[in-house]
Amino acid sequence: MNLDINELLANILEELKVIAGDQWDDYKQTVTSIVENKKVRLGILASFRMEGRISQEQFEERLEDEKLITESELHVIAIMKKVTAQRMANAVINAFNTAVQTAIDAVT
Amino acid sequence: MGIEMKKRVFGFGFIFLLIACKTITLVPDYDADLANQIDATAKKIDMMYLKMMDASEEDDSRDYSYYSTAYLGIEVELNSILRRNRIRQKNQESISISENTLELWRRYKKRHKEANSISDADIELNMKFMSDQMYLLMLSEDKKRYAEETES
Repeated sequence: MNLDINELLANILEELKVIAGDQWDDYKQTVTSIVENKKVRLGILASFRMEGRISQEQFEERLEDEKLITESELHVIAIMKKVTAQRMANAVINAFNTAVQTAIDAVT
Repeated sequence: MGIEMKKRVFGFGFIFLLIACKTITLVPDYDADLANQIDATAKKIDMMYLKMMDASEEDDSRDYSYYSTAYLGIEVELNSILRRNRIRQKNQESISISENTLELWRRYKKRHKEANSISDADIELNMKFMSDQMYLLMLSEDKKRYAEETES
């Protein structure tokens, strides 16, 4: 069994970069920590299977568990995107409010 | 500036100030108590698995019965975290993460209960998978704190 976890995780990281889009710099630290955790987790799982410490049935059960974690990882990224959108929207409103207030001050 | 122009500027400014009183909210406010509860629950999970790892695989000291109270106590905490997330508006992602955490925990409890023992490999895997899942639960709350800090 030849499994390159690093290559697999590099591909996942690229996928996550696409999901993050323009906000990648804001997300980098958190996403990198999530991917590092996944790398260690899948590395342990693969080595335990290859060493025969868990059966194929147990391995497949763990892959089902991994689906729950992966889904949760994507939910965290969705929260980060919402936070960014909220910050941007409120910054626009605040800037507009300030501009209008300045204009009002100028005519009074 | 003519009177008509001044009226327009004031009118526009007044309408916009009304709009600006409301900020856009896409995620709920940060809940520090909930963040502490998540951290405390993660520690309890670590403690349970470390105790389990310390017990011998050779005798009956990893029987489910020795850990049932700990399993149930942690399940109560995870249920509570899920409920606290459910009562907050615009919080669907955190609700889903809480549901996944509870589901993962129940799977591990069920496997241990059915086998009435647990191997070193399973303890290590359970501990790692739960630790990473609890980290995601913590992040889901911590990102709300970040939203508050960067907007203030």
